[in-house]
Amino acid sequence: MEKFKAKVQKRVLILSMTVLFIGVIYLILISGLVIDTPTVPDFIRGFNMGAFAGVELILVFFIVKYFVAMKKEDNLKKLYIEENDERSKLILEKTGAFGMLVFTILCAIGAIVAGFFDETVFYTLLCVTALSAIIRGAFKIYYHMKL
Amino acid sequence: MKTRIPELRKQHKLSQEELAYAVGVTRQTITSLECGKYTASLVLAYKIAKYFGLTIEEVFDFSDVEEM
Repeated sequence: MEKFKAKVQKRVLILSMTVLFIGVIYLILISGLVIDTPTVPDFIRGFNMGAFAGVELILVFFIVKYFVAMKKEDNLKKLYIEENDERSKLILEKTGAFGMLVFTILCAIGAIVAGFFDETVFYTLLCVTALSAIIRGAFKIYYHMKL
Repeated sequence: MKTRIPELRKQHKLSQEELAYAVGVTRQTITSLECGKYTASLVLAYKIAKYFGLTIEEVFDFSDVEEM
């Protein structure tokens, strides 16, 4: 459990630095002081702000969760069980594998349909399909060799 | 796969939560094991059997396992 506690402490540190870093980058981008960013539609600006706030909130949530876990041994063990439960891990693995396959197939179908209407969308979806298939293939080869 | 876990828990007056905590899994995993929806790994099966002071064969019913 001491090893896991050290791992959690490291996570808190990394997450805290990430929160700070993302905050600084975002402030630099919206202030326009260092980099001159082009004017974008309100929708994109709102989306970016929402995404930034959402990511920061999620990171802070995890920092608090890990902090609380480190206070009591019992909480730390519960966190360890939650993260290492074999059934949960299996669900994640199956979701990832199957989800990635479905995503690739749907992108391919989308690319074909988009090809009849819009060239930009067609090429974008084609690139996404190819990238997704390459990543999936690469991971498959990696795990074939590793296990 | 059928198991004797519900029966053993009753004998030892254990809740699913308590057993789950003792063997290092979530309560949902114990529930799935008892319903036969999930098959435990070798390590988990060993931990559960050891916890009850029994062998794996005494806790898990392998009669339904297909023979190759």
